[in-house]
Amino acid sequence: MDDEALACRVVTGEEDAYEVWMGQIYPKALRLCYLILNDANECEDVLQEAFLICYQKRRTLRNADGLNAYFYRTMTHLAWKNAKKRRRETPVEETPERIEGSPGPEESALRQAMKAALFAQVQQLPVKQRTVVIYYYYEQRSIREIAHLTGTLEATVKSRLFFARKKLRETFKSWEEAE
Amino acid sequence: MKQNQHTDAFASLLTEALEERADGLPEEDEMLMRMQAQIRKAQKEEKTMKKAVGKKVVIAAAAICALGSITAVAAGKLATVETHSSHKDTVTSYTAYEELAEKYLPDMRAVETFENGYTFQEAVPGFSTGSDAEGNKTGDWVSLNVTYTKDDAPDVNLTAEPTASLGDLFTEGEQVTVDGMTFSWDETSYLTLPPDQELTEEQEEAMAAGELQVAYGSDVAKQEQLQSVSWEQDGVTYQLFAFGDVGEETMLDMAAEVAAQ
Repeated sequence: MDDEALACRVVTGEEDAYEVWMGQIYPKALRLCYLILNDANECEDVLQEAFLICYQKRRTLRNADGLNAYFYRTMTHLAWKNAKKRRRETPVEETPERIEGSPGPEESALRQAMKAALFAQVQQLPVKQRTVVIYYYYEQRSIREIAHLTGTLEATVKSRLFFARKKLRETFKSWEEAE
Repeated sequence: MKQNQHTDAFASLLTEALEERADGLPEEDEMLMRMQAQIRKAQKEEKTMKKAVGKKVVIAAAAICALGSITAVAAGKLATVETHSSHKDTVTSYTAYEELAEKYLPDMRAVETFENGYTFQEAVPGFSTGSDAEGNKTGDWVSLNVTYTKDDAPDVNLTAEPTASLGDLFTEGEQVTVDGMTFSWDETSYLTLPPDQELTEEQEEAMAAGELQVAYGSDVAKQEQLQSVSWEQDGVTYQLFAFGDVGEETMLDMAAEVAAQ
């Protein structure tokens, strides 16, 4: 059954459809939530609550699009609430030492190190900037879609993305220059 | 890997970094199963509430429908109304009530203060969904409930909702004409029970005879006198009701005052 047909069955209140829809959306939702929170236990709490809220509201959602967007918006806001409660910095990962020498394996190791440094920097971002980065670069969403999925204005999304990119590019440049 | 819409080196690297981290996370089937179990629990609770609502008088915002459905149950038909109202939507000024009425039920009539001293206290919208005996949705509608108070007297509620939404749920009582308008007067014993409590045989018989109205949802079993006046006017069905002894004449006068607006 295609996604839209299944989501339609969910919003009309069909009993078994909700669990099936959960199974479909869960892998992606888990990854997104994990990237935002970087904590698997917290992810379960957030996803559990988001699925429950969505279940309770499902009949008020007009269509398939409404269901998915509502879920992501709820999940995102719950993740933000959790991060705020947590109020701790995610530990910065140690980045591997740069390897001098010939190209090939070194390039791969350097690339890995740059990615690790970038990821660590993503985790250092304020949670709302981090969320926008994840939706934009991991989910490949447009500004408009991100605004819709996070329940914020497009201008706010652009602003958060601007400041996030600025910090991330600094990390990227420092590695590029050292190359 | 998704098709990368960001082609510069920075964007590609960042996307790769996020994908590798996310894809490296194991999908825990147990986590999904735990969450699905919670949803099944919520489904069970919802079914229990729906069963209760099928017999329940929802006084806050849709008493007419619920009373109608109780009568329908007693007559052998089954119809269910679920109504949701939230204290967050409650308004405590008459001006704010007028704005609600304009939004949801522009043809509704009401008064701010009755001649007998009952005064507007608060109003709240109720969002209702009706289902037939097979559980098929019959419609959604909004009702408005207004509460009036008077010192040392039971509160009186005025509920209004679109007549068209009620279908066959509304059952008429004793017909009384006041100032050229026909009202239905009803006085009945009203029993509220905790959700899982079963009726006694006596109570079942009283309900079947129309002498007892039953509602589910209270913490303890409680029996009170319910007095109500109902009428239909310009596509809106009204019910003025009170728990306690306000009096037939008083209630009818108040209904006539509303109808005259």
